[in-house]
Amino acid sequence: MLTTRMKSQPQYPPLEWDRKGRQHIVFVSAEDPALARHLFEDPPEGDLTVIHLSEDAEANASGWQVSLPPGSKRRVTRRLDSALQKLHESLDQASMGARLYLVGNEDIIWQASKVADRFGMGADAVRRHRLGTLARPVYCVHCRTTTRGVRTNVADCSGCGRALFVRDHFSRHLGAYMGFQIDAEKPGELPTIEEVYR
Amino acid sequence: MTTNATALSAVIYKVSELAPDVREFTLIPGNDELFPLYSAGSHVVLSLPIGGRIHRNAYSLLGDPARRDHWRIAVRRQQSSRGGSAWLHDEARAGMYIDLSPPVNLFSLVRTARHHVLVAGGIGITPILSQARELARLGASFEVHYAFRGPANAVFLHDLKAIAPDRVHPHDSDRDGQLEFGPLLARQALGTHLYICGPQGMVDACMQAGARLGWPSKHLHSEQFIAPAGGEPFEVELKRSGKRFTVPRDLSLLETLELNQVDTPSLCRGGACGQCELEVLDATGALVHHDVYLSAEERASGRKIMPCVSRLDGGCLVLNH
Amino acid sequence: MAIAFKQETFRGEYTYANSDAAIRRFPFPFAQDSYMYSVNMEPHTKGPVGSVFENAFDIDEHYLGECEDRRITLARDPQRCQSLPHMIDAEWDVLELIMTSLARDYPENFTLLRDGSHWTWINRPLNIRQPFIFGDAATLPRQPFEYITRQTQGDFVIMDQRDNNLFADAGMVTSQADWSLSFDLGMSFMEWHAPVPLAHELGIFDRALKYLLMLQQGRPVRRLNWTMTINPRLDTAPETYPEWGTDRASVTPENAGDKVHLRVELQTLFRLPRSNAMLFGIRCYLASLAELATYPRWAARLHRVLGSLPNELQEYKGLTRYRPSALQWLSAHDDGRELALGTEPV
Repeated sequence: MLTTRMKSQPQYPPLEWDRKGRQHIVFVSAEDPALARHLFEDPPEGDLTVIHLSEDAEANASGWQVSLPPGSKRRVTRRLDSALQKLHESLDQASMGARLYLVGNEDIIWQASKVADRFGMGADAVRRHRLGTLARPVYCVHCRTTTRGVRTNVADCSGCGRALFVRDHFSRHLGAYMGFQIDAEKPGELPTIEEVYR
Repeated sequence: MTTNATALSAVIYKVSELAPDVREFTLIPGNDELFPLYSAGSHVVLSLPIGGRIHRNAYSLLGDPARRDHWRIAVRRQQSSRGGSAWLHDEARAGMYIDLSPPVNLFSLVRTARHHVLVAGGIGITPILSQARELARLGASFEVHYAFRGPANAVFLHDLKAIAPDRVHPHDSDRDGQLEFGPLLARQALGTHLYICGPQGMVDACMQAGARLGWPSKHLHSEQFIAPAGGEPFEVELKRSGKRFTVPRDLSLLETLELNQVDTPSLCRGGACGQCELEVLDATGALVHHDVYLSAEERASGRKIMPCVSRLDGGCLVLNH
Repeated sequence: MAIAFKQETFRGEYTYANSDAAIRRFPFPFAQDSYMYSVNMEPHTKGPVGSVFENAFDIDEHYLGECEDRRITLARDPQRCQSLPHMIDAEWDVLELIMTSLARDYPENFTLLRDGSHWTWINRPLNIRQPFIFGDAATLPRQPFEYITRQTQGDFVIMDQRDNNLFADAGMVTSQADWSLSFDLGMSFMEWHAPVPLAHELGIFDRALKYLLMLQQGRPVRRLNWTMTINPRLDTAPETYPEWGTDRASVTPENAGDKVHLRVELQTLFRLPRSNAMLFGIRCYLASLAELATYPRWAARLHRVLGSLPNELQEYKGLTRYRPSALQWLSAHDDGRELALGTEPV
C-alpha cells in the first residue's frame, strides 16, 4: 500500500503573516485563541480586515475579537454563504499587494479559496491554516455530487448511494477529495470501515 | 536555456528609418513557404555574419502573426554593441539573406489574468506592441504605458493608438521625467499581471516598486531572450578510441560526435532524460551544465556530462568513450 | 495507401480485434525484461513507414470504431469533453494542427481546402464536408476542439503554459486509463500526476516538466506508456468503473489470452503556435495476450515484465486481481531463454 504522501494533497504549514503584503484579509471560521494572539501581537503593515464566521455572531470573547489590533476592520456573520459574500466584497475592493489568510476546516478553506480564484489570487497571495475536524468533502466521480463531512475511509455518496473509497487525490478546483465505488470489482465486498478523518 | 532549432531562411525586404538609431526591418521568407505562426511576445534570433563569425541577436516580432508573408522587427543601435546592431544599421541591405531561429516565446501573456498592464521603454515597445494587438483581439482588459525620450523616439506610438484607442498612456520622459511606477502599480486590482520591456534601469525600478507594493513576483513579467545555442569551441578526446575532435561554437558536443560517426546514445536531446550521459575523465576547462537531469552533486563532481546540451568553456574534455 | 476500416465495438459484444498487420505494427513498449518509469521522451520525428510513429497523428483500421465509441461515450456523458474559456485560441491551434496533419499524411481520406480564413474540411471515412470560417466558432457545429477531436483517434489534453507550469485546462477524454477529466481539469502538472507511485521520488516529473516548458514549435516529442485492460474496452474511466470493474474478477488462466489486453499509450506533445499552449495526445492501442503471442518474443517478454513488476505499479495500474491468471497464461509462451534487448516482434 502506498505510504508516501499524495502530491495533490494540500499541506498546511504554521500560519505567519506575509510581511511582503500591503493589505491583509483574514477569513476565520474556527476558534484558536493562541493563534489569534500570536498573529495580532505583531501585526503586519497595511490595512487588516477580519471576516469572522462564527455561530455565536456576537462572539465578544473570541480571540479574533479580543486580540484585534486597533484600526482593523471586523465583519462578523453566522452564515457561511454570508461570510463568503463578505470575502467577495473585500477582495473586490482590494488592490494588488493584498494577502489572504484562510483559517478553518479543510472544506471551508477551499470554498473560500474559490472566491479568491475568481479574483486571480494565486498560490503566493493566499495562505491556509487548517483547524478543527479532518472530515473531508468527497467528490463522487460517478454522479459528480460532493458529500461533505466524511470521517470514514469509505462513505456512502449522498447523491447516488454508492460506497465510495475516499482517496487522498485532491482537486483545488472542486475543493474535494476523489471518491470512487470501492466494490466496483466485487459488488458487496467492502473493506473494514474506519473513522480515519476525525 | 539553449535551442538547437533549425534555422529559417529570410530575406530583408525593406529597411525603414523610424528614428535616430532605430531601424525597422521587414523580412520575407527566403524560400517559397510562409513564415510559421507565433504568439505575442515571441522573438527570433538572427544569425549575423560579422567579421568571419556568426553573432546571434534576439529581436521581438512586432507585427501581426496572422500575416505570414512577412515579419517585422525593429533594431536600436546599441552603443556597446558587439557588432550585431551596428551591422544591422550600417551593413544590412534589402535583398540580403539572413538566417533566423523559429519563434520562441519567453514573454507570453497570462491568459487567466483579469487585467494586463503593458509597459514599454524605448525600443522595448516591440514585444509590447505585439501583446497589445493580441489583447485587443481577445477583447481583454488592458492598459499600455509607453515611455520614450522625446517625440522623435516615440516609434510605433501611432500603431499602438490604432490598436488600442483609449488604452495608451504615452510618457515623454524628456518632458515629464521618469515614469513613476508607484502610483501605476498601487491602483491595480487583484488579478492584474504586468509585463515590462525596456532599459535595465527602468525594469529594475518597476520590479522594485512592485516588491515595495507587495505584488507577488509571479505577476511581474519582464522580457528575457533565449541564450543562443553554442559557446566557446573546445576539444574533445575519446580515451578508448583515441579520437579527437573540435566542438565548434554552433554545434553541441553530441552533434559533433554524431557528425564524426561516433556511436553514442541519445533520446530527448534536451537535457532531461539522462540517456546521453558520458563519463568525464579529465577537463582542462570549466564544465558548463545546461541539463536538468544531473543532481547538484553530480554536476559538482565534474565526472559526468550530458553532451546534448552541455559544454566545456574552452580547453580539452577527455571522455571515457 | 488505403486503410481498410473495420466496423467493431469496444463495449457490449466487444467485436474488436486486430488484423495481422495491426498486430505487427503494435507499439510493444518493453525493450527489456523489467519495467520502471523513466523520462523516455524522444523527438516525434517521422518514423518508419507503416509504423505507429510514421505520422504526427496515427490513423489505423480502428478509426471508425473508435470515433463511434467516442460518440457513444459523449452522448452518455458530455462532460468527458471540457474546455476552460481562456483556451479558445489553443482550441483553434489544435484544430489547425490536426486538420493539416491528417490532410498531409492521409490524403486519400482527408482534405483541407483553405482560401484565406474560408476553410473546407473533408473527412471521407466519416462522410463529412464542412465549410467554415477559421476563428469563428459559430460556423462549426461544435466548438473547435471538440469538433476535430471527435474525428481523431486518441484522447487529447490542452495544457496552458503559465507560471513556469503546465495546467490541464481543456480535454477530450473518452479512452483514458482510469483518470477523470472532471476531477483533474485545471490541475497543474504535478497535481494531476500525483497518484503515480514511485515516479515522483525518482525525479521523473521534475525533469519532464522542465523539458516540456522549453518545447518548441515544430519539434514535438513522444513517449510510450502502458497498462492493462480486461476486454478491448476504451472507456475505462473512473466515472464508469462500476460498468467495467467486475470484468477484472472474471479472468481465469483459460480465458486470459482473449480477455487480458495490453494497453499502450503513444503520448505526443506539440507546442501550439498562437496560444503558446501545448497539446498532449494520448493515443491508445489495445492487443490481447493471444494476439501478442503471435510473436513469441513479445509474450515471453511480457511474462517477465509482468512477473517482476513492483507492487506499487501493479496496484496503481489495477492489475492485482488478474495478474496471476495472466502470468499463468503467458508462462506457456516463455521457455526462459535469453531475450535480446529491444521491442521488435522477431
